[in-house]
Amino acid sequence: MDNANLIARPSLKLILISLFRADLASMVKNPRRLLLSFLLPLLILLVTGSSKSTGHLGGSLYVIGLAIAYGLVSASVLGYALGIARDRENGVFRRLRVTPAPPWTIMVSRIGMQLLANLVMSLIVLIVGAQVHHINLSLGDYLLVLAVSILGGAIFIAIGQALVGLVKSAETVNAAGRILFIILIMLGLFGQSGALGGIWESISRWSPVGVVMTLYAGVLKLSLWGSSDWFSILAGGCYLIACVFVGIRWFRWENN
Amino acid sequence: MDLTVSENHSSQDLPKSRSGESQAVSAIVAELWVEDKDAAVAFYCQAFGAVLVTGKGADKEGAVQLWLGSAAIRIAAANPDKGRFSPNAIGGHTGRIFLAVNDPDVFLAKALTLGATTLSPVADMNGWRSSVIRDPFGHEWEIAKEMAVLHPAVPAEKPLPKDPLPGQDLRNEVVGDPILSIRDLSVTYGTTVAVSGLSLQIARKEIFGLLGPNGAGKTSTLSAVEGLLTPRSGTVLVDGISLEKDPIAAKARMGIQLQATSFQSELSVKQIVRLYAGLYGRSMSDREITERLGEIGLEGDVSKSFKQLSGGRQQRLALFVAVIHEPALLLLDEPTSGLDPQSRRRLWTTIEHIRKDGGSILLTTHSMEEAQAVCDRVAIIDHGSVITAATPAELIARHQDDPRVLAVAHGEVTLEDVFIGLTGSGIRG
Repeated sequence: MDNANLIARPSLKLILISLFRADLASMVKNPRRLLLSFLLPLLILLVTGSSKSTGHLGGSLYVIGLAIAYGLVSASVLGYALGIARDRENGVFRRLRVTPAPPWTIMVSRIGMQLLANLVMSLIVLIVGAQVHHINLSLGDYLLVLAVSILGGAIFIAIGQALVGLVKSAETVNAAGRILFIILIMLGLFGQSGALGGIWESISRWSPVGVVMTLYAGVLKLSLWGSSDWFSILAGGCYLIACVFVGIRWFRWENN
Repeated sequence: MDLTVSENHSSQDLPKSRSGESQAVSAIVAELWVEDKDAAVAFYCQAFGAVLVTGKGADKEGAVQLWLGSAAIRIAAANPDKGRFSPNAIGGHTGRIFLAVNDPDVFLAKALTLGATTLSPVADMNGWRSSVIRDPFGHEWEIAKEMAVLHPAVPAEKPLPKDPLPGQDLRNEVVGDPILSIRDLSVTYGTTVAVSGLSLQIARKEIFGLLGPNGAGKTSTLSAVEGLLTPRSGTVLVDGISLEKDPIAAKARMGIQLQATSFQSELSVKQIVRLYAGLYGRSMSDREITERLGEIGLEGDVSKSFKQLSGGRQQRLALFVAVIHEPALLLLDEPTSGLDPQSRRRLWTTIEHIRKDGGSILLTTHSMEEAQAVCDRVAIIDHGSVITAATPAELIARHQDDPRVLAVAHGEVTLEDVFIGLTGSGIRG
């Protein structure tokens, strides 16, 4: 307790490194989160790759975009949001907040780690997708897909953040997240196929999943990039801002 | 010295000077805030109790002189019927009239009730000092020839008050540089007031117990000190650093063990230690972590998760993490809750070691026996305010004749009897 040993002000760098390292360890050691991130996208790739029936889904590139987008949705809306809700409920955040770590570093670490996980997932799904669907992708394609993954991941993390901002209990977040997940999946899968009619197709097209899928398809086939892709970026930005606002404005570090 | 003491709150029954002579004031015994310590050698606690230290007000580096303190005690001895000096004895116009009429030798006052507008003209009239009184706090230093430091927790030559006065100031300040200073803290949840104007100080190397029934405001107070909630008003200084203005530096000086500690379930013990060491600015190697964990008998658990540990080991790890950066102040929220006697004993031994190493401890507990045995001082709080504070022995001595305490005591009065007597027997939610 000799005050001479006391570090007057811990550096933000060390605080962030410590949080990143711990969040990375938590993520890697959480099989549920890994499963959520990889299971659905890989399943989609394997199913569509073997059936050769990707035409009605918009082609191979669109299916790869779909797989990555669903991976982002499941990892962010279910994995991220549920992780935050559970740590809040269990008092993990309370324990962290009494340390010198500013609250924003705790959240930046969580979000940063989720974005990193999204990028890794996107890369793996893209590599597997290219193999399964026999597509040759250039380095530029990979970089563009990763760029869209950053935006898409940010949108879905923001949706997850809004969810934990509006819903307090982890159990309810889990239930609401699953419902939201199913809605987003259904919108993306059936809406854009045209099976539900024109209105639903439009809704689907401009839903968060639809926007991200469009962007993936756009960057994977740059020759077809057009105004709708730019509008998709704009729409994605709007989703991001709106959900970040809700997620910050109503977020509480503790349930009680 | 012929001295005058006042307990009056109105000008109608102001006491007359015993000397009847008009003479310049020779001393002012008054409160000073901690911030005034640069202006005065000594700073104040309460305007009743024992004099600890006195020093020349104008001499920042001057040696402590005790004669004025002795004089203040003599005031008390000469006025046994008064029993104590009310901190609200003088204020505003009343104070001005009192000073003008009595021209006292020794002036006991409470800083907050005497603004510059009160003291300045009187000081000029009596020729105490001609210097300008700059602000309402610390002006005593400007005009006092001597300053006294009073503290309620030290045995005095006169009997201690047996119960608090109405409006008694329970700021509970300590002599020296406090490690924790809470002033006028108020915490509200919507319209519910959880803490109302609570003030207390904790000295270095002191074990301080915060006692109170459920809902008294203990957790809200601790949460405000821990930075978990923003108080409606008031200040918290940790080692002189404002928690509000510099939370990183203030929190770096505190170690905290929450009532229910939870770490990320996926992390191993080693990863938990590395994380929290890093958050306090310390990098630890694997070998160092294992060695340090060995000191608390957890060297075999480095790869286990927190939930895989037994309750006692969890508590040991939680305390280890709380003190990993060797904090100047350790906050423990009901640290022995749910522990077996062996673990409790071990915890108290650890806490005693922390204190010996220079640390201070603020803890909450529902165990009055533990508080009585371990704490240097305790404060009983209820309805968000401190209702009494002193050493356990002094609290018992002060309240042992209180009918409320006697009504619940069985035989010799204990701290628990005092606690129940003052806070009531009803079960709180």
